[in-house]
Amino acid sequence: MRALRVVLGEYPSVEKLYGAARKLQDSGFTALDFYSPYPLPGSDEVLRLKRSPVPAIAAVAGFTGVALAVLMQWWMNDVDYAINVGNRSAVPSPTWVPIMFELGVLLAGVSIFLGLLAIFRFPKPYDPLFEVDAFRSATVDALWLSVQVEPGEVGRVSEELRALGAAQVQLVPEGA
Amino acid sequence: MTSEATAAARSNSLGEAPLIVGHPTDRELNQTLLNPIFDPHANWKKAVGLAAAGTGLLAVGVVVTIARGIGMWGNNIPVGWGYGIINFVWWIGIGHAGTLISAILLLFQQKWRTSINRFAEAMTIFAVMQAGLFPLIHTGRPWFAIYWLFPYPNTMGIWPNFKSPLIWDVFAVSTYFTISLLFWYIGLVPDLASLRDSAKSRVQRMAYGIFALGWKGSSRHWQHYRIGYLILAALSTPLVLSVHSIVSFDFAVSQLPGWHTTIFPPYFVAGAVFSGFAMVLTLMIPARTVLHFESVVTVRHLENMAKVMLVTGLIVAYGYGMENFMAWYSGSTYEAFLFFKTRTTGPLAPVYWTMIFCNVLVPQTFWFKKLRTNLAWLWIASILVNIGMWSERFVIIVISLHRDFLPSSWGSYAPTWVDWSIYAGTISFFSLLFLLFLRFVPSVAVAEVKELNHELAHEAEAGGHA
Repeated sequence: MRALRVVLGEYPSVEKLYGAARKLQDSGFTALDFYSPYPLPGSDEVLRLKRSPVPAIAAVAGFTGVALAVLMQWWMNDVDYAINVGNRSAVPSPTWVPIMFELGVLLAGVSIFLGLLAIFRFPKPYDPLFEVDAFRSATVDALWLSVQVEPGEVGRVSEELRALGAAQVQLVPEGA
Repeated sequence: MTSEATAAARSNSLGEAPLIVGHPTDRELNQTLLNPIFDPHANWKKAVGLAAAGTGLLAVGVVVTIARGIGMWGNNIPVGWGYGIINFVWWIGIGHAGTLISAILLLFQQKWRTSINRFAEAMTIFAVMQAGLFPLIHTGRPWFAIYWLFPYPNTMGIWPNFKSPLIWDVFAVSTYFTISLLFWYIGLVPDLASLRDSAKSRVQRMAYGIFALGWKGSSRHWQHYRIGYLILAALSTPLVLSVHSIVSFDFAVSQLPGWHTTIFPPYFVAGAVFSGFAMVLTLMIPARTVLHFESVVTVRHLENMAKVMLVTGLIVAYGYGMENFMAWYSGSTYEAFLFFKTRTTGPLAPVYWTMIFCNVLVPQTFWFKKLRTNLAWLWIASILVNIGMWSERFVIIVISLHRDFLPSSWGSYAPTWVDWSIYAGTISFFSLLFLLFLRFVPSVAVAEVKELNHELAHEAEAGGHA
């Protein structure tokens, strides 16, 4: 099987962009994406995206941090080298709370960052889309739509994108 | 709908200034906000030279401290904590406004945060860096600090005592720094991509391309990005409250009059936000003019910050009042002596009265819209508040320590030239980092301002049809 090609279309408004996406989805193209300088409200629904795993990642990491904090403080101050301060009850101690909170936040926050990198497969400073010079406007002021198609359908899809209101249509170079 | 109607819809019903002046397009916003990077200010190099020279003072102070020992500082017995901790608390406090603006105002959906959050977050990171220096160098031998500060056993196999607020402080401050840095960087990625795509030279394109990590504004990425950013904000909100609460525990858990009080955590947090907003104003008022950001950082932003300062200033004043009340109500001789004699009429009383003037009286001028919107006064007041908040830490630390329970153990305190060099040096180092930030990093969150611009246009349109 030959590699899929990516066709890009620039749209002048969010309504036209979403309209084009819906039409393409109706004709069976589902490998769509939008590119915009700021997040577009409603794009999740139009692209039919699944729920993001980021909250779950953060929750798991956060609770791991809390558990680690308990284990660390208990093992270091009560097991490995017990320090008796004022003969207060050693386990559990309210004095553990600040570090439980801090480590929970630390691990949750770091996991969000690393989780995003993993989901995006970043760092990826080069992307074939960057070969299209006009596409540089995607982070400045333009709205772009991308669709993956079989090599044979490039011409037909390009025509369709234009018919759906694209200001310009670009083909991402092959093998780039 | 006429453009006048849109403009009217953009300023609110109270007739306040708009959040974004005019109707810039996305490309114009890009142009305005990224311009300082492509076309740096003529005096930028001079300013950097000055700040770098000042940073040299820091280097001298640190080298002298490490080579000759902590005896080079003014600390003594009974004043065992001096400039080191005063400056630590002052810098950490300044950082708090950044997190408040970026995280808490985000959760409350306050639109005015958008054009100042990047700026304030950078301030947070640089301020926390200065703060972190002090605990490190105050150990005298920082290369041993790993087992004094972090959970690493010393040669006797003893771990740090986790019942001590000082070790909580290490965790709080290092977590705060890490999370603030990640929050800032994640927010920066779309703007770095925008820089990459508008850069003219190949070097710039490559450099920003590396830091942008490959961002292309894909909706499939925005989805995860937005939720991640929001959760980070939600995590930062209690974090910022915890950091200064824990800093205040360093004092509050001891039994010294002036320290041993339960009001410290909220009073420290309010004071931190108060001083942090003052620092944002100190930096923002000149920067918006020099960088030509008047259209996105409007008088409305500055006025809102003055309002936050008024509120937090009142909380701080309430804290002072409550401390005095408790000193009287508790019937403790030592408390009463500290609050009604040592602070008000003792040898260091001028610092106390500076604090009262700067932190209690100066913010009262913000009740008046005329003064809130007078940039010259706002700038002067912001500096006065920073002096006041520094004095507050001096009052809490030095005045409480220099005269405690037994008159036979009383002493005095005077900072040395090394103390002053390190303090002035951190201010210079902070300025240096800030100047580099203004020159190489988008100092206003471009993507967020574009989003806000579209939201405002949308609202104006909806308002016009209603």
